[in-house]
Amino acid sequence: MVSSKTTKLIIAAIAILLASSSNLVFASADFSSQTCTNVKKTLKTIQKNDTKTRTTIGPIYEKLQTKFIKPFNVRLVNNSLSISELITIQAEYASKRADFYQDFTSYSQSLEEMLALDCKNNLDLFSAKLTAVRTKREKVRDDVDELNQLISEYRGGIIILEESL
Amino acid sequence: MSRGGKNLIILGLIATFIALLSSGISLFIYHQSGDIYLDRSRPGFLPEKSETEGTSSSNNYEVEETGEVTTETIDEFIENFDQQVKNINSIENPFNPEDISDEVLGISAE
Repeated sequence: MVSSKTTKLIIAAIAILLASSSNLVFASADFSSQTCTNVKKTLKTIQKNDTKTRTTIGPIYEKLQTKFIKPFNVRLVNNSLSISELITIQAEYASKRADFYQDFTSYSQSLEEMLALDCKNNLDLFSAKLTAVRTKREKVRDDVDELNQLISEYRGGIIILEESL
Repeated sequence: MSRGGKNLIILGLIATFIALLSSGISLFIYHQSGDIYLDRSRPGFLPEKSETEGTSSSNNYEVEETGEVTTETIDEFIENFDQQVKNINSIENPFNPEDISDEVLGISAE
């Protein structure tokens, strides 16, 4: 009878094999220290650019929430206008903005851990980290897309409201 | 060594220990909160000269929570709202997955 511990180990091994077959496979013979240095150099440039992007759009997203959407909704409510949809958008936007902040931090932490690795001697770990970094970066990208969508929906709602005045 | 001298050394060691501990805790919080990843004063993350030039915004528009809502106030709101959106859209394809593809990183994939 196979113990549960052995079963878990077999499942983990299969999962690792599947993950490595569907993603990049470092050909260790080709993966020279020069390649390793170049990959890290490129990743550092990406890290710098992403930090720049985050510090540029983050405050704008915050400003739109605190200086535009929130006070304008209060004003609309004070004028007894029915804006339930706009209030829903405001709540979704606040939640998504929090996700964006959190996901970016998580992505940055993973990227930094990856950059600290010696990729020449830890190819498997480096490969696994790269997959994780990509997934987390895609999540940040999705957050940005959803925030932009909510901004567009809010604007559309205001236009509809204006037409009804 | 006199007793006073010994006490002075102990005091110095305690003060150093407290300073190291509080610095360590501060750095831990700085790292864990994610603020470190937004800190562009770090070496290698400093803004370029072109970024710091002409970044001051002259737009002082503020949304008042009180007052009437007219088509004029909405138009003014939309105009300023769009200005902010334009700043977001000025960043082309943020966090594009292609930026971190195998090709860009120069990794051979099977």
